[in-house]
Amino acid sequence: MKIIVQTAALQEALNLASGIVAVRTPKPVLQCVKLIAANNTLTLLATDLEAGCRYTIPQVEVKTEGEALIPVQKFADIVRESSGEEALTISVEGQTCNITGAGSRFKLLSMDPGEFPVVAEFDGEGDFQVAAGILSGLIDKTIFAVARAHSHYAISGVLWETSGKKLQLVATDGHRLALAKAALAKAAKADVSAIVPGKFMNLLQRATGAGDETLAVKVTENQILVQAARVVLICSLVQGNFPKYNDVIPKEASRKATVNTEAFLHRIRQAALLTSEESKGVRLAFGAEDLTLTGRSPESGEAEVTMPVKLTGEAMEIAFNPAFLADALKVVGTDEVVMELDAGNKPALMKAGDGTGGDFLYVVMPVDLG
Amino acid sequence: MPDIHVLSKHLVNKIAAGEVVERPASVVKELVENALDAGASAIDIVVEDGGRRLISVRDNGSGMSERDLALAFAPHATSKIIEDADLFNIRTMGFRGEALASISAVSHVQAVTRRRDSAEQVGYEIRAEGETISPVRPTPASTGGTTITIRDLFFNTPGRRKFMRTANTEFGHIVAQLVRLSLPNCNVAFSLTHNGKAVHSLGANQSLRQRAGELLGEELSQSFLELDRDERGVKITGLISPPHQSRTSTRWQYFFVNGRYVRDRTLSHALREAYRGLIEPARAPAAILFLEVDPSEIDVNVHPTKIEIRFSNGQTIHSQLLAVLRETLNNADVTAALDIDRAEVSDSGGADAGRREGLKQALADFFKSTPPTGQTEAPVGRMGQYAAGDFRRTPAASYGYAGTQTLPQTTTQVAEVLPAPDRLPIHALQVHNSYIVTTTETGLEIIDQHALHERIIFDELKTRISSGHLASQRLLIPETVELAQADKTILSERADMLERFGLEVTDFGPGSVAVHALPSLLVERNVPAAEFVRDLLETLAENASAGGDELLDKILATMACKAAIKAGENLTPEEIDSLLARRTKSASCPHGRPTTLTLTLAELEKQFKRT
Repeated sequence: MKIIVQTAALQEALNLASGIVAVRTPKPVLQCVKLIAANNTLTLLATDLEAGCRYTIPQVEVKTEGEALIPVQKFADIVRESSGEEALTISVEGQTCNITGAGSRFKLLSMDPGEFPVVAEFDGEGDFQVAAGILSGLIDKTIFAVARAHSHYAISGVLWETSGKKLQLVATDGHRLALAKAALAKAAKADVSAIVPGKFMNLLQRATGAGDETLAVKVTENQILVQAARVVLICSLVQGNFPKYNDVIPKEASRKATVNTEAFLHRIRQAALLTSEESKGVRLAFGAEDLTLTGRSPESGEAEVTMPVKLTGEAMEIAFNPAFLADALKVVGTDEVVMELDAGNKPALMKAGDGTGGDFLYVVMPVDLG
Repeated sequence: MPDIHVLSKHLVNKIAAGEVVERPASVVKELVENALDAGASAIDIVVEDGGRRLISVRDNGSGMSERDLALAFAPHATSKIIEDADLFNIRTMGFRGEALASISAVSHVQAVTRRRDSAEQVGYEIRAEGETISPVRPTPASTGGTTITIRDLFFNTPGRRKFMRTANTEFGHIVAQLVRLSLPNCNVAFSLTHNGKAVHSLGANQSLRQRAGELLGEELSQSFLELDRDERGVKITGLISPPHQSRTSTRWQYFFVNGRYVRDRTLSHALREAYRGLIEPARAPAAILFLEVDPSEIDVNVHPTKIEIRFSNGQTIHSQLLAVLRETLNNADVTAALDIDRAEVSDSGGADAGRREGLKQALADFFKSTPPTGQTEAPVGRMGQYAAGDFRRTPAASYGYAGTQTLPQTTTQVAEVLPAPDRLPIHALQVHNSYIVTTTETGLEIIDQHALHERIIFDELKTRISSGHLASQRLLIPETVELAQADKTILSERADMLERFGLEVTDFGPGSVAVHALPSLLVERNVPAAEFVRDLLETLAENASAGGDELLDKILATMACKAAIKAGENLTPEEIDSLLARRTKSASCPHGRPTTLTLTLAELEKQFKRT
C-alpha cells in the first residue's frame, strides 16, 4: 500500500477515530485504526466492538492499493505534529508503515489487517432520512434523562421510534422521562424502534454537527448505522424492552401552571442553593398568581423565592429534585413551559409552551421531603 | 450410699480455700487487699517460681496486736464488719474473714506483724501449716506493718497443685492482679519482685496516667482521654483510649466499682456501645474506669472473690456511663496518628525548631507546585478559581468518548483549600483517586475519601432522621426486586421503619416486590434500588436481635456506605474542598475504620533521619 494523503483531511478523520478506539483493552488490535486504500479513496476503520466508524477520505492519491493496521494514538500524534505539511506519504511494506513528510520520516509497526474485526457497511438508502440539525435537537432534549448506572439495562439508551413522518426519541432513568419528537421531510421507509446507547449519540452529535446535512439511518436487528457525507457511524443497540412509556405519561391533570422558562430556571437555581446533600429537594407552592420555591438545609439554612405563575385549578404544593427540573428547562427551547400537576405524590408533566406542547414532554416524579 | 456426717473443720477450710484460693495470684490478691485495708502506703510483693514456691507480701500498714494475730487465722474472723447491716455498707476490700484461714489451709504461712503505733521494736509471729497453727510468739521487728509469707502453696492438695500452670503463666496472673490492685490505689507504692528480679516498682502518689503508663505502656497511656462526671449519685472517672488505639480483646478494660476490680456486663456493654461505629467490630477499646456509688447501692457479696457485683440501679449506672463516654469521645479530636514507628519522637524545640520550620516550608512548597498538565501554566487561584483545563475531569458518568486530543494525564490533582489568614495555607492532593493528602499545622494528613464521606453522610442522616423522615424520591417506573418469601416478610414487618428512610416497597406477586420510592440521597448517587434493598435485607438479617437505635444506626451506615464516594473515584478540586470543609471531629467511618491518618513533621524528620 502506498498513498499520498492531505494532512488536514487525515487529521479530521483521526480525531473522530481516536475517540472511538478502546482506551483500555487487552486486545491490541482494538487500539489500532485500519486503513484501506482502494478506488482512489482512503477509508479509516475504528471500533471498540460496540461502536465503530468508517471514515472516507477522498483527498488522497492512491499509488498502490492495500491495507494497513496501525496504532491509532501514535498515528494521530504524528499526523497532528505534521499539520504544517500539506500532504503525507504513507507506505506499508510487510510489517512496517512509513509515514513520510518533507524532512520527516516515521516508522510504525503495522499489524495484520486481517485481524481487525468487521465493521459493518451501510448498504442501500436506509430506513429514514433526517437533517443533522433536527436529530441533534432531539438528542439534546432527551439524552440528559438517560439512566447512568441502573440495573434496568434497557434504559441505559434512548429509544428511537419512527412512525410515518414522525421521529421520536424517549429517554428515562426511572425518575423522569423525556420525550421529544420532530417531523421528517419524507416518511420512513420502514418504521423503526431501537434503543441506542447514550454515549453513541454524543459521538453522533460530534461527528455530524447541527447543520443541514441529511443523515441516512438504518436499523438492523442489533445495530444502528448512520450515514453522513464522509462517515458512517455504527453502534450495537441496547437489547431489552424499553418501559411502556405511554403508561407513565399522565393523561389528565387537575392543575395547569404556565411559567416563564428563564425565570423558572433561575428561581430553581436560587432555591437549590440551600438544599442538603441528603435531600436535594425544592418545595414548590403553586398559588393563583405566585409560585413560591423553598429550599431547606438543616446544616446551612433556608431559601425562599417567588415568581409569577398562571395557574388554573386549586393551589397546591409539590417538591422536586431541582436538578431534574433544571435539566429539562435548559433544553426545552421555548419561552414558556406548562406544568400539569395533580397531587403532591403524583407525577408532574412538563410541556413546551408556545403551542409546540406536543414536541417535548417531560414527566418528573416528585420528592417526599418528609 | 454412706451415712451423712458433718465435715471436719480442716476439710471445710480446704473447700473454702478452693473458692478463694484458686492459684498463686488469688493469694496475692487476698494479701494485698488486706494490706490496703490496713492503710498501707507501700506494699512489696516478692514471689518465687511464679508464686508456687513463695509469695511474700509486706506492708507498712497498721499492723496487728498479739490477740488479733492469734484470731486472724481462724475462719470468719475479721475486723472489717461487725453486724448484719455492715454487709451492705462495705467500704473495705475484704470482709468475709476467710482469706487467711483459707490460705493457711493449703500452704505454710508465716505472719510477722507489729503495730504501727507501737513504740517497741517488737512484733509478733505466727506460723500455720495445714490444720496446725503454732502459738503466737514475740519477734524483733524494726518497722510497723505486716509481712505474710506463703510457702509451698497447695502442698496438701495435690489436685490443685497439678492444675497450676508454668511459673511464667502463674506469674502473668500475678502481674495482672497487681494491675487490678494498683490502678485504683495510685497513692500507694507497689513493688513486685520475681525470683530476685524487680519487675515493677510503682512510686507512691502517682497520677492515674503515670501509673497506667508504667503498667500498660506509655504510648497508650499518653493517648488516653480523661473523663470525669458526678451525677445522679454516680461518680465516674478514668481514662479511655481514643478509637484508633483499640485492642484486639477486652483484656485492656478495667472496671472498678468503689475501688474494687469487677467484671460486669452492664459496664462492658456501655463501653462497647459508646465505641460502636468508632472502632471495627472485632476490636475493643482500652479503658480504666472508676465508678463511685453509695455502697448500699451495690451487692458485693455475690461471688467469693468479689469479682462480680450487683447494682440495685443498673439502668442509671449504664446510662450515666454511656453518656460520659460518648461525651468524652465526641469532644476529643480523635485522629489516628500514622504509626510509622512506635518509638517516641522528641518534640522539643531548640535547634530542631529551625529545621522543622524548613521542612514545613518544603512541604508547603510541594503542595503549592502545580502538576504538569501539558498546557500553558495557569495561575492557581484561590478556592473555587481554577483554570478549567488544569483539572479536567473525566467522570465515568459523563457521556461521550474521550476527547479528540488526549491530554497528557496526571494522576494527581491539586486543590487549594481556603487559606486562613496568618496560617500555613492548606492544600489538598488526591492520590490514586482514593486518598486525599493535606497539610496541617503540624504535618500532614492522609484521608480515606470513601470513609470520610461515609462518616459525613452518616452524621447528616442521623441528624435528619432524628427530626422526621428522610427525603424520598418517587420512581416513575416502580422497580421490581426479586426476593425470597422470608425476605419479603422481613420487609413488610419493618415497613414503618423503612418509611422513615424514604423507602416504599409493596408486594408485587410471588417472589418479588416493587420499589415505589427510594431515599433521595441514593437516587442522587445513582444507587440501584435492587442493590440497596438487598443490602438492607442483609443488614436487617445480621442485626435481627439489635434494638431500635442500634438497628437504625446500622441501616444508616449501610445507606451512607452505598451513597459515599467510592475509592477510585476521581474528585474535582471543588469536591475535595467540599469534603474537607464538611469534616467532623469523628475520625472513623460508621463501620469503625479510621478516616484520617496524621503524619507529623517530627515523624517525617525521624524517617528521613534528619534528627
